[in-house]
Amino acid sequence: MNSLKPNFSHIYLEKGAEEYSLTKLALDKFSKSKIIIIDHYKDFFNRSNQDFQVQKLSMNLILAKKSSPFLYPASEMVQEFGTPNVFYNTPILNCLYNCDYCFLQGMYNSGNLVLFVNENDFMSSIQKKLISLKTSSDPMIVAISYNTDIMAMENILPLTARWIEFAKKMKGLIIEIRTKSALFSLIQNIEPSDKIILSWTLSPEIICSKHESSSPPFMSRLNSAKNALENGWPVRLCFDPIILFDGWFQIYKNFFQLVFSEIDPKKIRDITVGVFRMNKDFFKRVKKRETTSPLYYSDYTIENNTVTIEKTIRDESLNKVKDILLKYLPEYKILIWN
Amino acid sequence: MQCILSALKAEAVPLIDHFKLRKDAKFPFPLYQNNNLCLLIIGVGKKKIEERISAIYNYHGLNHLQFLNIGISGGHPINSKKGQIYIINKIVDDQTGHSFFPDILIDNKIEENSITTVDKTINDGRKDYKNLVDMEASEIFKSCIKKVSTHQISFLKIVSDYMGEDTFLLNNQIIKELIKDHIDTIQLFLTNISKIQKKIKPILSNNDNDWIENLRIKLNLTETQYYQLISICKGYRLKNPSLKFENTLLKKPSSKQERDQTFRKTCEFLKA
Repeated sequence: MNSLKPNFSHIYLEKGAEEYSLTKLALDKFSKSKIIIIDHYKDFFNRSNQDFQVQKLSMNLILAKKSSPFLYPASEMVQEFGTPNVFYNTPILNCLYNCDYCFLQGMYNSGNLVLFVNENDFMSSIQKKLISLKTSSDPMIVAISYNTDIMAMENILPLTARWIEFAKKMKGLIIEIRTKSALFSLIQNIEPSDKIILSWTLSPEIICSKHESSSPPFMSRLNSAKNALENGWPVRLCFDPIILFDGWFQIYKNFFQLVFSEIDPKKIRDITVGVFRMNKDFFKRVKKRETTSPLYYSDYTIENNTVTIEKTIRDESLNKVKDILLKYLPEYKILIWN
Repeated sequence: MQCILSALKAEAVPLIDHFKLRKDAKFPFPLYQNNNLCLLIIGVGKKKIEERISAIYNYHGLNHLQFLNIGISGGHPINSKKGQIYIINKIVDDQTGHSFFPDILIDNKIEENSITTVDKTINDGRKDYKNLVDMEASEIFKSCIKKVSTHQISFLKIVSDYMGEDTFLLNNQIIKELIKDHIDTIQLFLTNISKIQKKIKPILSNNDNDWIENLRIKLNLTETQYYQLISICKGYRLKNPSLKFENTLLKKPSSKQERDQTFRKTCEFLKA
């Protein structure tokens, strides 16, 4: 629909957020955007009766200052990392992409993005946590791209680069940057570090085009991951969610073959695998909004407040995937959510 | 379906004439309609707005109804021009201080402005209102948002005066002319915003809903079964966009067990 406003045609600027450097960067970047002053980001972002999917057609940006907490314990939806000190934070709420299976559409009322401009507060809270950790011999892992895709924003704002520079200076800290972006080239001049895990979510092309249509295609993501590996970065591959459909196994088998013909599995830090799962309330909300993704009309079970594939099918499917992946990687490098 | 909301008859007349709307005598307030467009006169101020909007919404029963407030407003010389039309991106209720934000998703080439909704006419040239001023917008937004989504509520305001002595010069003829001058812009705006609604098609067609309703009655489905059936039918429709639901000649079941068995079989068929 060509009469739509371009993304970020409007910037909603929270009072008190004006003087931050990220605000200035964003306003410079979108100098033609209409700026609308708001008292608090929730006045706009949390409005009732918004249409998430319609807003995704023409997303707007909210620049705001977050108040504490700046750090959250990791969700049960993520795989174990082999350390008890796993956290996530939310420098951005919502994502440039709009994948069918994404929990964000059930979590937020709005399809717009919130960028919290007080990044120093986020960073300070990590510093404080590092000092207070009981099991400080284990590394602290912080997923900074959990409620967004931070690298997808890199050509808009250099947030990934800033977080990488921060993590490099922090002893005992590892940050995970999960992405579907093809924008690795924007950070490839940064010296790689083992304190940063660059995690690419990869899916077979048929899944990309059907369920991840606003994200870069499979090959672009794979090339980005490959470049990162060649540049010496620790890279995690996320085959998550594996989508089950008629003939899924053969498609995924071919897909893994293709991935590991392009990428040397020995160089991979690790792999995460999981099936479709979503918090029950988020799932209900997505369905109530009349989603047109067939994913939401399949049979699922509810376990611990999570909507997911029934356990026997899930175990069987994940075991089949694991058997294939074991041909490429040792078991300790395969992290499975089940 | 689109619904124009105007406070004054003088604002409405040029629109009624242009869109060839006819008075609908069914309602106890002024409502004009044709096939896909209606115009509701809500009166000046907040008091009748919610009641009238609710009546129209309940009558049409459409959650894809789009509301558009068109009217004149006061302005301030530093950020508005008399006679110019603006699309509203922020509404502040002067009494409560609350702000409201309609979504602006369509590129209409109409200049944007914010507006303050006040309770009394301002004609003393008060310059403490730096944006537009009207007497209805906040209440319109509050009433409409109970019925439809944020992108289905829009506001076009034409600046008629700077809230000073010029307010007293306004008469019906001047107001009609102000609206008339922007009739093409208004028509284009209505066409453009309708494109968004066309993009949002319900998964189930009217025929599909009839089929479900028929099955619900025949099988005397429980509330839970009914909602399960709707969900399964949506999945079926997404997988089979052009297949009709089978016209089964089901007999009324004689027991709950028979009903449950038939329901289960129907679901299995639709999910296969």
